[in-house]
Amino acid sequence: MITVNSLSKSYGSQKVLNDISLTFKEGEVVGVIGENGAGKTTLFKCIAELESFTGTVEYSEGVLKNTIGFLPTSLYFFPRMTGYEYLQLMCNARDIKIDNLKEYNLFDLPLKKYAENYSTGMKKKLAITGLLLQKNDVFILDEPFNGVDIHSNLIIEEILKQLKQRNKIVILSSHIFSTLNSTCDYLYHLKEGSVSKSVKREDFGKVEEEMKGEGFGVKLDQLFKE
Amino acid sequence: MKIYFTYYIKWFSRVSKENRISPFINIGLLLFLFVLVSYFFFERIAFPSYIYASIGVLAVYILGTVKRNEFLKNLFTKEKYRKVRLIENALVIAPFVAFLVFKLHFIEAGGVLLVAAVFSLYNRVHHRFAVIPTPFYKNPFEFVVGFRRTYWVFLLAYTLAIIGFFVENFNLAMFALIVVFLACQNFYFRLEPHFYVWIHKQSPEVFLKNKMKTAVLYSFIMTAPLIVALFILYPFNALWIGLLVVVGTLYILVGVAGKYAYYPNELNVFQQIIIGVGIVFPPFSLILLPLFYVKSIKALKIYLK
Repeated sequence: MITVNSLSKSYGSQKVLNDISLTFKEGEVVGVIGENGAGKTTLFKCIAELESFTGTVEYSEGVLKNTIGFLPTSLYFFPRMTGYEYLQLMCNARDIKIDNLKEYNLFDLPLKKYAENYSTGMKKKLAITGLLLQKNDVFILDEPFNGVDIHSNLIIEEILKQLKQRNKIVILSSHIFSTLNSTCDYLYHLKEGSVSKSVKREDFGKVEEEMKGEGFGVKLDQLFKE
Repeated sequence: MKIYFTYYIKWFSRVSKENRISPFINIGLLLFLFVLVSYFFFERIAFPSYIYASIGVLAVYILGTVKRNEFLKNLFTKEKYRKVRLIENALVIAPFVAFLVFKLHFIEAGGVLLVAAVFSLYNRVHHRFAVIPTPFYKNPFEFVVGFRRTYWVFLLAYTLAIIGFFVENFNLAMFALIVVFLACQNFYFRLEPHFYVWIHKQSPEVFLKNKMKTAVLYSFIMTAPLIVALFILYPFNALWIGLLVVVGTLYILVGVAGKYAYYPNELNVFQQIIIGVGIVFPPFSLILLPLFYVKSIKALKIYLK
């Protein structure tokens, strides 16, 4: 179990996350939602210890950092490195030895080509494959459905279900509500750096309506005003 | 269009200020360097005007990349786009033309101008490189990426060494070996984003030792044919060859330790000069190595547990 206690994060005088306390349990898929700039990515980075913060993040099973598979929103791939070499790097990072990486190419990616030349969706699929090969216990996926085709979307949903069955902790964000509906057990609504609401699956619809209503109609009217 | 070109001036100014150099001094330095290199080029290279003109044409050709031109086409109308491409090519080729005229190579200067104008119509340059196979795939990424970026340095060094062997110039072959070692060390001057350090589960000590082991092993792969050839052809100089191998390995180790000593910051000019001193005066590298190692361990503790 991961326990986040009073987590706060500031960049200079600007407070991005304010006193956040959450728990993430094994076998649960938890979605973190919020508008752009609400602090989702910063929260993920803090949990993964990629950013410094005040407060604590505790993990009951050992060193959290060494068992997290983190999928960033914007992916960086080394220039002139093939997909195959990227997967090898991800395995080496966790001392995992796999003789035939090609057998684990679940998205049928052109692994012999340079990853930097992949399309946005292919890059995401490569990164997800890398995280799965690492045999992580915790998965933090920032916008995993962004930029991937419908078929791959279905594969990712299936992967999330498998991870849940295998008792992994999965934390993800997405702007596509339908994907959250079909994959998440809980949703945390992040608003201006604080958790404004935590809801179970049966109340997901209410959060969706609430997010749609957040001044959107008025702003749209203003935009089209002649 | 005016805003577009003003942006380049602003960008140059920002980059100069980030490096704590006045933009005016920076432009002066760059022009001085260009003239200096051009001057030496004409002094030392055979058929300099043709090669020099080709370099200018290459610089203009690169401006025709697909992505860049798609962006420009989105930004400007068809007419303005043509004008922008023509002005850009003229600006890039201008220093080359000026130097060719200065050297009284009028035909080459005219030719380069003409080619630059024609290239303003060409915008299909792709930056897709063929995958170069390497023996380093088991331990990415420095050697994999570095070798593919600078394979031409190794081709050059090996050519030099072969010339050295044929003309029985031991020093030239030894120089080629140093070039190979330094090229391998150079792979470690490029820092990776901290995400790629963070993903490792190893402790800072194990992480650094693994990096060092890989670096020494792979640089040995790169230098082995030269070393073997040197020992066979110059057995009476075995001591010097052995000493150079030890020094080269020391360079590699300093490169790896130095890379992370100030991580996530890159080495500044002063720190690079220190490494340079270690290259010129190898015993100094013996002091640098433990110093950088300790600093690296400290810097890596932020990202590795």
